[in-house]
Amino acid sequence: MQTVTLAQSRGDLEHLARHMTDLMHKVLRPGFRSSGEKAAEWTPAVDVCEADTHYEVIVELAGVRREDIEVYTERGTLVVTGCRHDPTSPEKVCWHQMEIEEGHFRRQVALPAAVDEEKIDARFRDGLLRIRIPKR
Amino acid sequence: MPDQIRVQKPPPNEGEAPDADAQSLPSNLPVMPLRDTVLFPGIIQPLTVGRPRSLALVQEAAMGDRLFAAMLQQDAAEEEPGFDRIADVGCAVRILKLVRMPDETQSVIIQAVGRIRAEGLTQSDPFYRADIEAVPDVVREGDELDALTRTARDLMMRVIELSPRIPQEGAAVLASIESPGHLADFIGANLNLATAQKQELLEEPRVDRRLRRVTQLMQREIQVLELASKIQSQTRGRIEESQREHFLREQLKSIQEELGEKDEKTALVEQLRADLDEADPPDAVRTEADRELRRLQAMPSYAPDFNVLRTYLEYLAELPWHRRSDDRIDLKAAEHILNEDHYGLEEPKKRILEYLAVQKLRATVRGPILCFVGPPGVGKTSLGQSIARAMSRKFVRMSLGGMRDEAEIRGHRRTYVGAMPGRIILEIRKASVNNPVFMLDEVDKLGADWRGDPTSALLEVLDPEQNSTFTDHYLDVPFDLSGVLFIGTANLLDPIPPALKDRLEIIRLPGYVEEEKLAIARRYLVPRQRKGHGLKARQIRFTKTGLRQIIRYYTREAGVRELERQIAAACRAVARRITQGKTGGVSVKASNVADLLGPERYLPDVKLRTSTPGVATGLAWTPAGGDILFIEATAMPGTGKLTLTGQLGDVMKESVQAALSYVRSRADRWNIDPKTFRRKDLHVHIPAGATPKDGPSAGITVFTALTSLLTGRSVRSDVALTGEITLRGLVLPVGGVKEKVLAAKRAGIRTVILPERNRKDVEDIPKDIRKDMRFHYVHGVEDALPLALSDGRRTGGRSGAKKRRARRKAK
Repeated sequence: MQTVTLAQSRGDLEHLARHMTDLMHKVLRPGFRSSGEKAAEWTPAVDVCEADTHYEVIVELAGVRREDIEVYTERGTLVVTGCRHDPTSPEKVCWHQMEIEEGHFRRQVALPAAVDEEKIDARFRDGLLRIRIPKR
Repeated sequence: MPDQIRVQKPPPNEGEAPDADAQSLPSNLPVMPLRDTVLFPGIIQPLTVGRPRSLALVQEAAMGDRLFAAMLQQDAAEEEPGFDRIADVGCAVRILKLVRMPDETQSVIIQAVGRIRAEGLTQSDPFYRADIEAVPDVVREGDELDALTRTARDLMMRVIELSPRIPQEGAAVLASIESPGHLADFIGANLNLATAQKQELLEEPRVDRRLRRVTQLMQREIQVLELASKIQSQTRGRIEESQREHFLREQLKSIQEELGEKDEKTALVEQLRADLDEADPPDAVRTEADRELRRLQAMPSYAPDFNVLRTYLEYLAELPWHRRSDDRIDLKAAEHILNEDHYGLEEPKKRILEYLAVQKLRATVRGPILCFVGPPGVGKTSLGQSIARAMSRKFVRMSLGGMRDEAEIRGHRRTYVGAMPGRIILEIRKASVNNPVFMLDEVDKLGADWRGDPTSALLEVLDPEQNSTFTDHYLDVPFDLSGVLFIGTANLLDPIPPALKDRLEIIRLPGYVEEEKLAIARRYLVPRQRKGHGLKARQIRFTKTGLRQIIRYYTREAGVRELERQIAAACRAVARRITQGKTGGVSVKASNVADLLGPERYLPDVKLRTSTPGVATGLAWTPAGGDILFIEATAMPGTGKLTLTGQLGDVMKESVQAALSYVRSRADRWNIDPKTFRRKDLHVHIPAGATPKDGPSAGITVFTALTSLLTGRSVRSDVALTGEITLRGLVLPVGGVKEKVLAAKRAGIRTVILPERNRKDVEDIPKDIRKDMRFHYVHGVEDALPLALSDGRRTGGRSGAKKRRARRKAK
């Protein structure tokens, strides 16, 4: 294994610390464990907004293949789950810095009662999964 | 649509998987020993990896499935522990993030994913690898477990509430944990436990036991946390309170400054402190003063004691603790000053100069205290002022006349309302030096009553051994009086208490004769009065004869006060005339004195008085100086009684008796018919009838008067006698010789007959007073007769005339 020392600036340390806090918050979010499924190894960021006719849920899923994303509803909850494979090239010989999360992910959003679950529309583009949930 | 993702049905529920992690763990993992760190499944932890074996381990795991096993090493000090020194039970962890640090270490963030046990070592280099097995939670469902779970959850809620370390979001997580095992792990990870306690929890597969243990630990933790919380809130409360007070005070100060009122009390205290610094009292006093200053600062300004304390401190700050006049004793200059200020008084001046010389040599004021004794108006106080001038010192004066209250000297204690320091301290303060010339006037007139004895207080003040630490009752701190030059004055010597008299060096100022008075008048009195009445030199002048006239016929005193008053009266009269325009200037001669001052007051009646037999001139001593008196004797038909009048004291009465008895016993020597004593009543009278008289010194005079009466020979008009007689005819010495001689001279007497033993007293009298006078010193009474009695044939009077006729007839 080559040991290459890269100069690390202070900024990176702060980044690490921020990540740490980030993770803590992610961990402490409810719905951390699930049953009947592989345990989530990381959780993506999610935006939820409301329009006059529909709700919009956006999931940040850069580097995830479309075929690796699953979206479904269960008991009034919208579930997004899937897997991001290791984005690094197989030619690597050692790690200097590992930040991009990989592995299984899962997020869920509770849906209000007055929505049409049948008409949910999910599109994945530019690394963002946009889910439109029309209001009833 | 290329972007579309089909929204699916939920995947089939395969039932409760006991632990999703267990399925996904490999059977062999790299093993990293951890120092002092115990992980619980589910927690995310940062690790700093520094040891070479661990660094290699991390890199390999990161390259692969990012998993490895982490176990606690038993001894944290070991750099490379043996496999047997690493705990069996630990956690399988996944690397979430990694970064290489500049110092070659790697910082990793890992998440523990499950409990594992290391079964067997499979590799030692470059790092450990071992076969691992998942350790599932042993759960016995039931009420007991439910109860434990609930209790644990509730307690942990409380811990989260109290502990500052755990973020409040932890409560939300706590609420969402369903599995009791996970609950116990969450608690174990977040409680403030020792490493060994944590490892113990990790190694316990039975969940109920785990829960019981964490419950126990939490209870202890809650106690500590609650106590810490209470202490913290108390402290905060206190700090807040004092901060609040401080804040309010600052506001108050700002408001006061805005209004323009400075904090008066502080300003006052600062001023007093500055004054005290300047006054520079001795250390003991300064300590006391500082203590009182602090009290003053702490006292509200409306407290009644405030002003009392303030006044006290002002006194302390104003006293001249160190301020003194520089002594400049130049004897020549002193002599010059004394002569300039006073005429005559040679003896006192000599004594004063000697005193000053000693002070100069010794450089300290010690030794006896001068006391000028003499009649009023001779210049005792002004001598004191001259001394002060000669020494370049300040002059203060205090009259002791009639002082009965000891508190006048020593002051009252501060506790009394209206307390003040004694007069000594007050005068020192006024003088603002601690070495003035301090004149104590009229020490012979000190009184004493139930309020105390001021004499005793004075003794302390005047005693050089004690007065360096004179403690006034008000001040309550010692003040050094040893630099003060005390001088006393008195009219009489006798009333001075003996203890006091002992400390005094008596200098007598006996009074002035005519010549001296004349000189004093011309040098000092006339110019002073003239100026005082606004008259110019040409508007009034006094001739010598005029002054003499005034002295002789308008004053009868040893001093010059009356003389000055008469001169003032003359000036007034002249001033009136000038303003009325009646005259431009007056020259006061003998002829116009009566015009200005009125008729003569005192007539020299010596000549007239002794023109008949039976009157003799004696010399008496009074507090106002010496004086002449007349002893009159007369005879009338009777049975031999003796009457005495003239307010005579007992001693004098007895001396008259003695004189009479002596005359009777020697009657034949002077041809006195013994039958006279049976056939006549004798009356001896000594005018003036209202003035009390006493003393034995007129004995010889009485004898002479009686003899003069009975022999019919009058006494010479220019002779005066003094002396005490015994029954055997001896003449005993008397006192006050100088004053008596001066009185004689003032009255125009030329011859004085004195006891032999008073010869030296006469020789003490300055020559210029003694000139023109003749002194005769007698041993026996009878020796006086030829000197005193005239031949008796000439002078008028009936008995004389009778005898003359009788003699003529006889011839």
